[in-house]
Amino acid sequence: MSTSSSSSKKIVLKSADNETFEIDEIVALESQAIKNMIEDECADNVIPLGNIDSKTLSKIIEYCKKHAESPKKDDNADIDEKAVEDLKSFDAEFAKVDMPLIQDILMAANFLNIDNLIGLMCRTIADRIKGKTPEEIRKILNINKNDLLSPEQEAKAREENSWAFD
Amino acid sequence: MSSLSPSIEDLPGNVMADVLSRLPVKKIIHCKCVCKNWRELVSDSYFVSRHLSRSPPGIMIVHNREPQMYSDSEEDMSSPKEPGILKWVEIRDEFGNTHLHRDLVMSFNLNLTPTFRNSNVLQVGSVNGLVCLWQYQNNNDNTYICNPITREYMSLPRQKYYKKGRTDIVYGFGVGLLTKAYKVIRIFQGDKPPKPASSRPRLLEAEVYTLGTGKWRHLGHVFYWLEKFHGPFLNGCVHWIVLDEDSPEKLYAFDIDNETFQLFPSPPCEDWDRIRVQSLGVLNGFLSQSDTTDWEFTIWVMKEYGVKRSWHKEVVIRQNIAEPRDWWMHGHVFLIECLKDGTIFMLFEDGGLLVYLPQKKSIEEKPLLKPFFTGIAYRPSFLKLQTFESETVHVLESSRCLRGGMSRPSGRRTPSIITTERDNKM
Repeated sequence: MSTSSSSSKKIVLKSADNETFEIDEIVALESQAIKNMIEDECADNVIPLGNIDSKTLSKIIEYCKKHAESPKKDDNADIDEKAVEDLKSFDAEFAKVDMPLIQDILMAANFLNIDNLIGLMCRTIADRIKGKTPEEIRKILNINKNDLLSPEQEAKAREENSWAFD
Repeated sequence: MSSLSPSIEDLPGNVMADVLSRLPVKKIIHCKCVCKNWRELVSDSYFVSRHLSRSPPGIMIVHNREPQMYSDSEEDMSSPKEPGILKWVEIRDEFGNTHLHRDLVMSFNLNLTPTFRNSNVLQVGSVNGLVCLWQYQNNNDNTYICNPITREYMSLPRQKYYKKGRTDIVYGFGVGLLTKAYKVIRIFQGDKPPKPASSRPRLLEAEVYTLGTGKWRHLGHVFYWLEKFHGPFLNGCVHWIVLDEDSPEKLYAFDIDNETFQLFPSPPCEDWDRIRVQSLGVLNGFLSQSDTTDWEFTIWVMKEYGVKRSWHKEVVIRQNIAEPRDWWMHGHVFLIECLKDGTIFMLFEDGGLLVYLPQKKSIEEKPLLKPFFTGIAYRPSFLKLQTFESETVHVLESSRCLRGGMSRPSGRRTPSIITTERDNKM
């Protein structure tokens, strides 16, 4: 992945499947975890991310680049509106991926501590299960069969909260 | 290869809590059935606080078929009372428009629970999804805490100063900023209100109950006579209006943590003696006061908590402008909730929902509910009463026929607006 500004400091991220991504430091700083590493000077030139595969990592870099380029909220109230709208539609497009990838991105965003991205992914999952029945939710999210409530337990849970199940 | 595809359960609990806390309350309850993991998660204190931080504003109504405010001592058996239906009206923020959600989220008939059968209850405080109920008629003087979402309720033990006859009881309910202790404060006003030149009333006694302790504690005398309505909670304190004319400030605050009372800066009102009715509330996180005189209705907002000069007039409506639809200026108006766009929800006396519209600078009635009802600002939460050790927790009885929507007694016409679908915006 190449970037336009050549003068700025570069950081290299290495995915679990050994792919390397060279990015501007400013993009990497969107991750609070990487920011802390850099500030504590314990980041080498190459940061290995052993639990994030290249597909997920490239999505995350795409997100961080866009957000690093966008003017921050407190910069200037006047120029903001268009930028905010632009960022909103970027986020909406960004979230249009399948559920396994969303979960991978969320897991990685949590590890890298990227607040906005965590929020976006949580919101996306919430939106997708909002209108669904428990059975549909289990399917959408691939819930482990061993973790299901027994029919008796489920009946009890429904009975206890009958007002919410009309 | 399904075994390699990620499962949502690989996500750390706090992230999953974040996802679920974004769902509507009913959906969260459905999610308790999805898997064991989620059932535990929703009961977890991290989830509870996460959800509370984004819990939507709303109004909790106690709906009565009979007027309750003025028939304090009467026992009119000719018209059977069917009081006490708890209803939660949600205020939604959808597509940038805020509006009252007309399809009630929840409705509980308190009569199904023997404790509340055929008795009148008044909500006297609400904090973090817990509602403090006062059962006051027919020689009753009982206090309850209830969470309508978990359906739990508990009875507080009998306090020392028990209401007799026309005694005024003043309530407050809040949580300490530092101690995080939930406390009910109750002031017994067992004397006549002060008249100019009369001596100070003597029997003003405060008692406090900390949830989880099982007993009331007597805090001693209170120095001022207070407006009898419950005091709104903000910033670790409960606030009331002082009625004594010679008091240097007209507000009184009780600090939940320190359990101390003190006079609190009141609005710099010039026509104090001309005010007919007043009320206190919390609008958008600011302490607010409404004053009604013969010629004007004012809402004051304290922009900086505790700073007297930060009081300013947010709303002023002159009687001659409101006329002829100024009936609401002839009774108590209670401040309930304010939306981002400046819309203010208020309740009138015992059964009218009023809305202040900032664009029109006017107040209108929304015929959403039939009289008679009282209401309070409310935010739903999953905070369990069982968290308070040593309290005996009961469960409210629920009825299938009342679930969700409004009750519709047979043969009685239900105003059409009540059954209107949710896309009705204000």
